[in-house]
Amino acid sequence: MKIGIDTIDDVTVVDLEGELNVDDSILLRNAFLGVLKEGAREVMVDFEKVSFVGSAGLATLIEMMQLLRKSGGKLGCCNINNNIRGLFEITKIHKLITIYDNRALALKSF
Amino acid sequence: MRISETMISQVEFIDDFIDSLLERIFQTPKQHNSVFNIKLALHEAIINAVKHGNKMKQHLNVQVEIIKEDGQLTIQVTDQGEGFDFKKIPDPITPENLEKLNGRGIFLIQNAMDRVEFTDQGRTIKMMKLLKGD
Repeated sequence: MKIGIDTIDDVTVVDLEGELNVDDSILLRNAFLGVLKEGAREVMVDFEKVSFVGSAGLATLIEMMQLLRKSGGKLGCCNINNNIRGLFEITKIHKLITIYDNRALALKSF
Repeated sequence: MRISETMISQVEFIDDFIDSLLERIFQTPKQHNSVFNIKLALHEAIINAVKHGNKMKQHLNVQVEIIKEDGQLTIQVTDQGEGFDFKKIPDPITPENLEKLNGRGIFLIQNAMDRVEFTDQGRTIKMMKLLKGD
């Protein structure tokens, strides 16, 4: 998986490319802990180029949300394809993490 | 079509192992509607077998048997661990479990496949899916 990190208007944007399986979830977790350490409070994960997410990926996102919430921050996700959105919905993770249709809407709402 | 494969209990091998299985099940995996769900079910079942069943002990194997016939796919994943009580799987979408970091794998499998059964004291999971239009 490729992970790109950028800051747009105080929002840390995490661009993912590939599959969020077990190994890649560890990579994402480490990248996230890095941006949290640097003071990120609002984080938006862009799933446009993500084709697969397993339970390890979902767990990483929940942990990210919990850590941000603890520090008064917020996690959002955008550009999620229908298969992955279905996973968010059946596991009810969409009640914990806000999903935006696209990046522009996400950035506007943060 | 029948596939029988064995892998050692090493997490790093799981993704390549699953991709090779999917390529054998479907000649062009991305064109099939069911591939995401079947990949998800295989992924979660094999991770459970490696991590929770075999507890990452590399001398223990995970056996995968796949049968594709008459428009139905049957996948059986067996580990060599101690088994588990599959009747006591917590529901991951209850309010008290919703934020837990673990415990979604079997729930995802049950949603991805049409039928799921456990045998051999939880060491074997058998998953079935009808391949509509695939």
